[in-house]
Amino acid sequence: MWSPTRSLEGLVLVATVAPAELVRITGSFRTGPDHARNRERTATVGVPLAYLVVTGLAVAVVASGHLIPDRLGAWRTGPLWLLIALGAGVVLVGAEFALGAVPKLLRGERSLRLSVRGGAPAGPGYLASILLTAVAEELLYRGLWIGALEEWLGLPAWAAICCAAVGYALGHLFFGGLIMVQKALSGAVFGVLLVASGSLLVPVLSHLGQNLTVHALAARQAVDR
Amino acid sequence: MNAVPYACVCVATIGGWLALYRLPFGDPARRRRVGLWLADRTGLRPDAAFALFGTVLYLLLGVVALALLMTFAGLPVQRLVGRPSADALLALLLAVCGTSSLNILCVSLLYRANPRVDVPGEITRVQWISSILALPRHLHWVVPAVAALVEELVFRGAVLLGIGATGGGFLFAATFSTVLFAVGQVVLVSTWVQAYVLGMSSLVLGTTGSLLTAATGSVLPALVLHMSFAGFYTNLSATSRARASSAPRRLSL
Repeated sequence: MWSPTRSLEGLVLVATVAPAELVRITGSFRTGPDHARNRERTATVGVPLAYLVVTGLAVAVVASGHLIPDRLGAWRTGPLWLLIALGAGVVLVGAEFALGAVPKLLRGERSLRLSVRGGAPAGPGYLASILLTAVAEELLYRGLWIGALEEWLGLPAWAAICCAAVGYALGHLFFGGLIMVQKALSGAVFGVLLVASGSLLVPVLSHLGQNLTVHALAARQAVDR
Repeated sequence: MNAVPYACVCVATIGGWLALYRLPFGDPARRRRVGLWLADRTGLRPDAAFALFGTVLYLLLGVVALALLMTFAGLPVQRLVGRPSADALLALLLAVCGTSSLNILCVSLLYRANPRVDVPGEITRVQWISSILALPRHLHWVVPAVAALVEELVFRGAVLLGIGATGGGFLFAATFSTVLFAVGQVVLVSTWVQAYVLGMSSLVLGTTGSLLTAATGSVLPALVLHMSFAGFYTNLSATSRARASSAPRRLSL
């Protein structure tokens, strides 16, 4: 009657828009004084777990339907692209700070202090968590989404990059509107890196570089305080 | 019969189902009288007796609507409950995660717009949910699951597959059945918060359920999705006092 393949492709895209929101379910069960203490653990364990579970399921579903996009399987690249990836990751931290400063500048604030949001914890567990999350996000939003939008829906590369960047930004909704804009920018740059290099390793490394830079800034911020 | 006249039959049948369920008992005084009358005959508490009566009435009317629509569409029962392949389990698990995360995303948007809104409180005040919560505890999972079973057979079975059987395209069938399902949920609530939460969750559930049904060729996975979703969130609303504004710290950079 209808194409099961098309429906499966649609299901994969719809079901992977915002995996991180799943952590709120565990938060809903918690009450009382332990709530605040548990929140950090939920964030450290829950967010990467949610991304890994949803990404793993999505990849398993497309593999079972023989629908794996080429982008998801393309990992080879040269040393120049690895350098560009790491450099882009560091530059993106600055770009996100610059975007974050725009509303304050528009309000007329003259003295701006840069800081990592919310005093993020700087322990090894948190570091592992942000690195795992970065890899899962790249597999999902760049490898799967851009590949799927190009191959399944026939979108041009620029449109696929934009859609994946919006999906990636939506995944950060609970951090606020400004962070969504910052993440849309990062998502678009990661997408351009994927399409330009032809390798998923490049946006993965870039994202890891970005997260490592932010983690280093957070650790330094914690020492300064 | 082709797809558009069948869609009109769907609207009339489901409109009749919901009107017969809702309108005779819209008056609280009449609900109380019926509850007392039922309590006299069953030995149950009046609120529990009326809740049980309302649930049975809703399900019976739903079954009648289902039978009518299947007759109009010429759909055999086997078409609704065809056995899906083993791969459907993976798609079902992904759909469960996706439906939950999208539903929470919609509630998060509401909290962004109004951080003081009490979503669990509003949901437990929805008439049919408060009726379920008036029942003995062991029925808190059973009743939403059974209601979900009937709704799924009607909306993803008779409406979605019925439109397909009468020659309609998937996009039209999925959009129509999803919107009809969401409207059917929204007319049973009384505040805008309830309407937003139930309306959005119905749109999400309808979209994923339609895709899952078309992808697996059977209503059964969507039925399991809906039953687990309805049971879980009815109970979560009742037990949760924690607010969704408890966002975790930023992790993903």
